[in-house]
Amino acid sequence: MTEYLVPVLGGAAASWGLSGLATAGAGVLPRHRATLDRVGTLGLAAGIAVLAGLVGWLWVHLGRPPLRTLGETRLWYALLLPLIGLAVELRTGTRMLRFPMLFFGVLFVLINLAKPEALDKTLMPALQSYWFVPHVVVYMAAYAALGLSCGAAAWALVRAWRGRRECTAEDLVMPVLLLKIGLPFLTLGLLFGALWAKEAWGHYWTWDPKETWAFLTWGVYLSILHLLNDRGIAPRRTLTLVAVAFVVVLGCWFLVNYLPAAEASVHTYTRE
Amino acid sequence: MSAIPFVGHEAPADRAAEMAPFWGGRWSYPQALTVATGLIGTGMILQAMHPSVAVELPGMPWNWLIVFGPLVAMAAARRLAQNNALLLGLGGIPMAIVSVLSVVVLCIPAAIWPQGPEAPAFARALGFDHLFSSLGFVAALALMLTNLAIATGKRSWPLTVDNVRFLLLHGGLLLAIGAACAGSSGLQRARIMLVEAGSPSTTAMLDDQWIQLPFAARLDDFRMTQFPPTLSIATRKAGSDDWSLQSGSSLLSKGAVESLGGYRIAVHEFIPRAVVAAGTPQSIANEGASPAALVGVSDATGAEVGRGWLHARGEFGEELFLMLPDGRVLVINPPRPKSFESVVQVVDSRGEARTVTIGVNEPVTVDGWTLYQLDYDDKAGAASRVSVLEAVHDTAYPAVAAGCWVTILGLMWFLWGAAAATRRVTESEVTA
Repeated sequence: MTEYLVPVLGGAAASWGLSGLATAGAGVLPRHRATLDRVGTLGLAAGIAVLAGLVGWLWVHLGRPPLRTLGETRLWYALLLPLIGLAVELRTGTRMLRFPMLFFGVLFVLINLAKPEALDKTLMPALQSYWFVPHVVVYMAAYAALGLSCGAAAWALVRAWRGRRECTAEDLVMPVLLLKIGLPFLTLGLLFGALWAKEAWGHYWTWDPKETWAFLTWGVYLSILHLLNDRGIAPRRTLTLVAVAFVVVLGCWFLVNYLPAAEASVHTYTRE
Repeated sequence: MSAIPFVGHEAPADRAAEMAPFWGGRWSYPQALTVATGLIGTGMILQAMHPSVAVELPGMPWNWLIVFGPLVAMAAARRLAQNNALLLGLGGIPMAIVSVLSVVVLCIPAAIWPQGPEAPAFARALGFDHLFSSLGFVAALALMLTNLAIATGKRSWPLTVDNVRFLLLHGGLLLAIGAACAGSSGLQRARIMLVEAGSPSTTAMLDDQWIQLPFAARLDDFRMTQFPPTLSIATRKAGSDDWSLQSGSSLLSKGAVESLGGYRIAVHEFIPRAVVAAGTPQSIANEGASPAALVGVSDATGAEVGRGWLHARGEFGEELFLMLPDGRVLVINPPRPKSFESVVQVVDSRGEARTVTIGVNEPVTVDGWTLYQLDYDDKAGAASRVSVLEAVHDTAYPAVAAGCWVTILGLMWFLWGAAAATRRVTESEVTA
């Protein structure tokens, strides 16, 4: 089955590459801006449609939600991040998320191309629950929004650096808005996980290493939001904080699988 | 102007506050940090002096003080917070951030190293091998809950739209965490081992002690369904006796084809349950028997380079595998469980008998005890006649669930607000 994934994933990456080129072209060719902008948006939407089709096909073909392995979650991430970005673009009319979302989308597609997985139809009994899909999808949506938040913050820092100017409150608007979308999803993921664990094993929370990392991630973003809510800090520091905080998400998602604590985790099914 | 009102700049230095004594004015981060460091640091020092000490909450009904305590604090906050510096400080945002980050930082050792006997030496010396019941961690958690309780109490009146949203988010979380903490000490978790056609069990093992259950349970049937097996190619790691496995994705059946490790493997015969006699698998009507498959292996040119029976390891004859031309080994994996469940006859405390089916993710409640399907005889697999159930008595569950759902409601509201905020973000504002 893996051989079918290569052209599809390659198609999505190419589509997003085209979108990036067109968006960049729109910035330097004002006369063709409208056309290039349209091509950029269409390329972005086409890549999303290809990945959505792939996820849907895998779901039907495997007879289970394609959310079991790290590679499958990466696929959802590559789908949800540009999808959330496009929704925000359409809602706000801004294009400032375009490059961060294309970067993350292409990156995760390329990782899946570089590390193909054997996709089998088995699904362990504990995962056969109506909580499985909402729990993982909500988490992926949170990671996507927080990834975009990180990307938008980093992009704002780069723009300020290139323009030799100080970061302003306006630079914070999009990263903080995405953080305000990501954190509720993260909390929903925690709560869904706790309710599911109670139903499956009789306890809400066991401080399993993955759960501990989930709490770390939640605590860090909760603290950032409260800090902004309190009195705020200088825009440049805020942007740096929001960009760097995403490291904890990556720790929770990937790093935890390679740490000594993972040996005792019941979440090791996510290992490749 | 920013479209999001809470995004601010660093507050200008308040000259009056700078001149006030350290504890004389409104608490900010230095004061919150001092309180947290003092409290948690004391806990950590005491824990290091007595590494084996583990905090245990009192049993019923005292455990509910954990919930009622914060409620009292909330009530006090309602009346006193307007002018009480201590309550204002303990319930303020600086303390919220400091207490949450304290818990976060204390969690880090457990996020990296295992807990319990396998914890590294430094963790055992500091009492971090049972971090979540250590004095420092419990102090940090208590500080966080106290902050949450006071903050919730402060916003409990008047019921403005903002306050209601705040209460749903923070009050729901307080109820969920507080009730879960309170419930953890009163929670009973016992294991019941049942054998098919055995006598009814009225006891269960709880913390190495037998306890009497209010009901009797007898296992009528343990059922398991399995996925068909898959293939793997095993490669011996250089200079080692360890093997690495490259697993295929096709579920085996007669006619199935697998592409694996540069080979095309066709399944010519498939026996779901087989016993190996004189090197040849034969079908057997025993659920515990491993599957067998007759496979033909072709290389990239299409030429057949191997053919033979594969049989998974088990108690029904030897393991059969196929040596490939490149020295690797083709094996068949044991089938994985698809589902397993126990059909149990229970007689409750009123003497009423009923038959229930307990599956993974499908617990059943009898006399206030919830029964979970936990385990079975691994060696026997699908032929297991033993089922291990976990009986959990948790009186706090309704409160915890209510807290979770109240928080979820608040989160939906919060998300709605965030979505509405995107409307205010215009091109000019974000690309300035």
